[in-house]
Amino acid sequence: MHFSIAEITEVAEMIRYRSLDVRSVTLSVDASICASPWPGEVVDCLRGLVEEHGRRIRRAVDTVAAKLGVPVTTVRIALTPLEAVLAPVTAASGVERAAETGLEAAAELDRAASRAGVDYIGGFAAFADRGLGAGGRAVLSALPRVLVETERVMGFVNAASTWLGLNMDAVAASARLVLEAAREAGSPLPGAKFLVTVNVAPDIPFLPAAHHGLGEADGVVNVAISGPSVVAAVLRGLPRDAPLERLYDELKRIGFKVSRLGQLVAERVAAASGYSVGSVDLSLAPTPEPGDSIADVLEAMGVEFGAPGSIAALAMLIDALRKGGAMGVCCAGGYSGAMIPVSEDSGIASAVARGLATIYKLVAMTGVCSTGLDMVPVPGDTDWRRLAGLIADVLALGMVQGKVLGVRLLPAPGKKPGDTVELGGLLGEAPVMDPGPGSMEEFVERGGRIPPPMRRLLAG
Amino acid sequence: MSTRDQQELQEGREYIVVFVHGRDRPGIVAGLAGVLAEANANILDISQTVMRGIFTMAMIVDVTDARLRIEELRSRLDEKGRELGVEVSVYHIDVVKYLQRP
Repeated sequence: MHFSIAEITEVAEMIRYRSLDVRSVTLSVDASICASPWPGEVVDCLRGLVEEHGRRIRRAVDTVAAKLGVPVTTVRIALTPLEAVLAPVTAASGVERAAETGLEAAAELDRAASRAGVDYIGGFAAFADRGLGAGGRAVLSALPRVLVETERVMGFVNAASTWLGLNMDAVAASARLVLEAAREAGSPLPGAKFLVTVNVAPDIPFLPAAHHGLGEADGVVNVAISGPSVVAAVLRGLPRDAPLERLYDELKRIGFKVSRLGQLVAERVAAASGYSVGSVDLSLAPTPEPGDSIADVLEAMGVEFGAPGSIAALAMLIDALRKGGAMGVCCAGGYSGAMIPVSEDSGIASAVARGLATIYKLVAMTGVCSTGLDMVPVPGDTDWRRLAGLIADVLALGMVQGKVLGVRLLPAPGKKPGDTVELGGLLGEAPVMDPGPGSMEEFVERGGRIPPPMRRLLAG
Repeated sequence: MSTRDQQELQEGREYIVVFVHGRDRPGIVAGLAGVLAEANANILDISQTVMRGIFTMAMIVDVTDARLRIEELRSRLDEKGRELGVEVSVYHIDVVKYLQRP
């Protein structure tokens, strides 16, 4: 096998100077074996699972990263949605006791993760597309305190799907619980750990949606790639008047390379740990680092984030990366789109501050990007019905189009639109956004659900 | 890699690529090769360019019989690079292989 100096230089430049890395390795673990009517048993079992698997995956990731010379930013564990684990407790002792058990378990998971060197735990979650089971009610009731009192545990509520419809009651409950958690904490941080989803996929390595789903083997390694700055650098190297097809070709080429790094790490970590390879999420995920931004990629394409043309550019970017990436990996999974988190992307946050990106422009972008409305600060005193309306809008888009989308809002206590919220570290900072005027109370308060679209009927 | 035929990489053996980047000066190649020789790592191929005073070098090194693990070798090379005023990156050959060959 022959390599030219140009090939080696290109790889070294991408990793060393363009922050190409693996954003996360997420081990998906079947926690349904912890389901038991006895709260003590549930908590002990979950703690044991995270300790054991956590140490094993952490050791494998460290070994592989050191050997390859490729940085891996975070290690996560995704558990079976806790509603399934808590269901027997609700049957034996009621929803309240099950919620307490969930809270206890979350606190133990938090500590166990820290001991094992696992950065985050996903799966404090419930599915409520059409309705909510008893375990799900326990999860929802425990979630506000879990979000406030733990550091590493994250949760989601899947409130809609193309198959079952959109559950407005679950949307309303989600809006209220995130507002309550933020109020309780006196900070928008709990919101960063909670997502409302539509069509959530079980092989998503990105939190808060990561979880172990039905139909998955126990112990599966899912990997998420990163690298907007690599993509932007490649585009900037092209002539300024290069036509879109040329950009598209280069994007496919870089999509292949970035995805290959994910595939390599997934294979090696699985081999070193004895788990199996799941999927590689091709999503381009930004960080608050200047330059590591989706907005920068669009600017390198020639359009400011939020300006007319930015949705077209985003659509082209994602499609090209998917096409290049699909060839590079065994199994693409998760979102495989582009993350557009407001606070975590300094370029998008700046576009918001300059008035270029408004909430509904971001919602429009979810039509092409498969991730949703992400890390959006809103005033902490926003009425829950207004947030529920906003969440329902995004979920409806996902439901009708058959897309995986999520909504992660950050209600900021005491802040009004235009104020800045500082979240710190990788969570970044952003201006508080206005969810928009108008009345929706009557629609949201009706409750009930929106039945699934025509697609469901056509599927038979 | 460049002018002469590159030795074929063999299945079952362990290779790394060493990438060096920085201001050109005498002794860079000798300094880094010394670290590799001391560790019993065998340089298979070496290729370099100097453009506008910036030195770029890539080496393919067989570390199968090396006395140090890759991460230890990396930190020795990194240290030597700092002495010489250049940046050294060390990757397993599979990283280049995966990224450059479908």
